[in-house]
Amino acid sequence: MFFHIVLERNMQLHPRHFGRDLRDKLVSKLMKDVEGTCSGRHGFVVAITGIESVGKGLIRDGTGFVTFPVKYLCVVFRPFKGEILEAVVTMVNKMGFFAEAGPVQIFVSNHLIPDDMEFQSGDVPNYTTSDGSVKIQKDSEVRLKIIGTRVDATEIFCIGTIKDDFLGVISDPGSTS
Amino acid sequence: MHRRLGKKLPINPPGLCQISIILHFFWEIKVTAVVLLLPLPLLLKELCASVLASIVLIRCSQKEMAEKGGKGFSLPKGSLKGKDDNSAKSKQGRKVQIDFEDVSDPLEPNSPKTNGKVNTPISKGDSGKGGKASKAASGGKNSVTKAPSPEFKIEEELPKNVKCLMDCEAAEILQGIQDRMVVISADPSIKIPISFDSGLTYAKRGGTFSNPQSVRKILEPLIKYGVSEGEMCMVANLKVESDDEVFALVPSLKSEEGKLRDPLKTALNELAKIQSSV
Repeated sequence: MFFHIVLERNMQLHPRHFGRDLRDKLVSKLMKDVEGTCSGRHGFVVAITGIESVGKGLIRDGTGFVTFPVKYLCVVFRPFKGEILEAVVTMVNKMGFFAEAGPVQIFVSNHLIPDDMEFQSGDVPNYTTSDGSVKIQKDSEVRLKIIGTRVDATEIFCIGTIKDDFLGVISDPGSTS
Repeated sequence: MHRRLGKKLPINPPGLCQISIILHFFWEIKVTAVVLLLPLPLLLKELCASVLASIVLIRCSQKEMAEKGGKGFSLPKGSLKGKDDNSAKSKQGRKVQIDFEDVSDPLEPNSPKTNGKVNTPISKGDSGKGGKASKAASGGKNSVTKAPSPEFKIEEELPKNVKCLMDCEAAEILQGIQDRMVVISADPSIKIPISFDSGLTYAKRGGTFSNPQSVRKILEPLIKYGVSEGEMCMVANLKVESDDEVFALVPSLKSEEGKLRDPLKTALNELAKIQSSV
């Protein structure tokens, strides 16, 4: 889910950037440093939407760098346990399938796929029901539930399930062709 | 010596005596050999018999094990499955999965509720998104064997200065930033991160509501019935079609089901109107 959140960060700026456009330099450095990062508490920082405040700078001893405390507004994306997401399948194998919901990767184990869906190997590996009416393959859109999360330094990895009511395929790329 | 021998054996001349002694010696050897060898076949016979008997015994026991073995091994699983009536009837191939479910089944109370629902009305009636999704789920028929469903409680995990965004709201904000980025992107040092693109694509997926304010206006009255902001956003994001679907997907709302059902139905009808008009 997306959130709008106020975060704070101490930005260090070299004296060569001091001048009339100090604030712009700070903002662009903040964007470069923060956007696309990921933390376990807040999730992915998708975009900075505004600056709330820039505090007074403090000169660091021994260097010319100045530290500015910056409060900024940003859009973050973080998955939660129990959350329902609509994800696009990126890879299917006999162990299960991988899907992506925004910047988040989700793995759905074959234990968490309905029992009547069986793995079919071939050019386009997929999980299909015995009557062939439902098929999960690459680029399929599935509605899944997050049951576990693992946060890395640069990404969040989730475990999902489609073994529940109202979960499963919502659009199949094969059906349109 | 010869004399003494001759005295002792006066009949036999000394040469004959030696021969007889030698013969006697050989005779004794023969006898002992015969004595020794006589029981050998018997011993061998006995040995063979005992070996055969043991082989027969082992084979019999193996047979018995094979006959009983299957049941013996399945019994523990059966006993595990005993928790789950329907799963007990399932095939052997599914046992592993059922065991997995049984092990990780901390939220057992959820399953009876979902069982009772049987999700037939929507899965059969609808051909849209929800229908397909529910079809996939009901395709699993044994929805008894469900994955553990953790409760959706984001308020506990997030700091207080956080506002949950519906996907349509996020799409609007991110689209605005992207439009501005076109102007800023003259500066090569500023690069749009991959997570921005993927986030925007995700937020815009499936044609979200064009007017986020009106969606919020429709769903906000639900907050006074105990719906949290996170739950409200999830309802908007999933574009659910029925109140049953909402209660199935957001189990934390089930506690307020009685008083929430009617306002939720109205809100969903309103949302459907907006969606159809888009």
